[in-house]
Amino acid sequence: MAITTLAHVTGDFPGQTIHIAKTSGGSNTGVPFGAWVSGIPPTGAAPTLLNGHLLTSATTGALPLVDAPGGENTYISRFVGSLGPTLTTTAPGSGIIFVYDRLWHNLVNITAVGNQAISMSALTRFTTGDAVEAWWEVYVATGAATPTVTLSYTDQSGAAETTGSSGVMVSALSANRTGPFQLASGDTGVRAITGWSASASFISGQIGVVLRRKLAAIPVPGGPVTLSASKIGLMEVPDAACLEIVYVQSLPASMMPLGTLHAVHG
Amino acid sequence: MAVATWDDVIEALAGSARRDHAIIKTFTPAAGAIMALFHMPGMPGAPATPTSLINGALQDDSTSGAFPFTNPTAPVETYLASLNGVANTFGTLMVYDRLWYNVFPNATTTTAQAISPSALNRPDANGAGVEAWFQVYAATGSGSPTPTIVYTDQDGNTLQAGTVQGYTASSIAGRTYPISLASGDTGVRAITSYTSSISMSSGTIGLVLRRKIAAITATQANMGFALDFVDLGGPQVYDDACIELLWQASSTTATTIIGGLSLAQG
Repeated sequence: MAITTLAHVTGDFPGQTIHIAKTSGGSNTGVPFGAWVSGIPPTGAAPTLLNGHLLTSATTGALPLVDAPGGENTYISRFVGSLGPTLTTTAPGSGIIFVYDRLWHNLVNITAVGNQAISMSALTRFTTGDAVEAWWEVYVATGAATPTVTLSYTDQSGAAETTGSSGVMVSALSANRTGPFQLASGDTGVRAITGWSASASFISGQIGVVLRRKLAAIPVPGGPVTLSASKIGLMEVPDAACLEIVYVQSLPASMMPLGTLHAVHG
Repeated sequence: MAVATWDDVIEALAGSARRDHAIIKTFTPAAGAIMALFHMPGMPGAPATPTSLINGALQDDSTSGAFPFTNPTAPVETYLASLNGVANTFGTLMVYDRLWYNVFPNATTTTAQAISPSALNRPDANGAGVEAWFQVYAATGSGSPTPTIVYTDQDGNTLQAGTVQGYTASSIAGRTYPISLASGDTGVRAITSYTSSISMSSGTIGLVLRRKIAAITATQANMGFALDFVDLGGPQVYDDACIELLWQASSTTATTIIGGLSLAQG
């Protein structure tokens, strides 16, 4: 069974309501921040293993999603909220809030130069890796260094690749900064990470890889926004999805994605 | 069958044939320039930069760098159902179906170069609404010619004359320029010859035939955008379409676009 009519969507309103109050504490404009280890729902834990951790809706830090009853699917159907200021600022926020399914993450040796082989468990959602994005994410601010990270991975077709690239990393990345890797020719997704190779030491801090799959994008032009089912995309959310928030802000102040995400079953 | 009602839209968005893709592209534009993002690093991964292919090649969704999808069974059709993202500069994002391209091995030839292209196969072989573009693959030199083409128009009239608009000496790789058509023409069926009035001194260049699917304006840097099926005008994506992105830049700032697009069928 699947949703087939607008009445089907509205008939299930308000559906699940998931309240969000997240902040990274970062103040850079125009760069993505992850909000995994902050706010409401309870703060997620940073990864500890090079070979990483598979993540689910039961993982602390995930938005509290309830799976659809048997035979039904879950769809993101609405968002009401804002990219608001924290208590230290007064300006209205603007930018974009992304809702992702955070599939897997790990922690690498921050000072190691050269390849760190990674043997991760197979993904349990979006298992082919199609449209799965590979990102680096900072958990503790890095030192004054500008390495380039080359990622080895298995692509969406099962082919081994060794040329994923972070580009030149910015020096002294603040905690919760995150950014996407560029993939090899023609690749449209990542099935597994097999290696991380930094061209130089990050000197200090904590950083790792995140595999995530985009579920919704919520533009915030300033002030609160409401996105209906069509506008938010009505994307199907797999059972046990580990929903997380990634956002980009346009103001140089600490901002907070704040609002309510709705999901319907059908 | 076609998507004709809101219920059709909802059914297509929630349908199992939906295909979602991540967009990650990083590039440094020239101010005011239109940049073709097909060969820019990111996701989909950039294909290798071509070096020589005078008679060109047809493009489809299996071409490295495109956004692949599975064709529906008639009468079901494919639509661009959503387009979202954020860029750290403002500009206009255009979505095209890349139909054919060619490459001249150098940009110094000043005599007419004959081209014998394969017939277009999408959406038909007529060329109605098909635009001709000039493409820079490797930066050109200081020569400042007025490049021209000879083409067959949408009605089959041969030996029509077109002119590259606004070519600027020392164009950077990735820059692309529209080509004006002869009086009354509304499309290009085939390009049969290319002439540069003087040498461009150096570089690798080519021609592209592409057909527009949608365009959106990112009016402010770091401000997200999300357009749904209706916002986009319900654009049909033809079977095998080689979807590519163009960006009209506002500045020379290094730009990263992070977002996604969804293809739905109904």
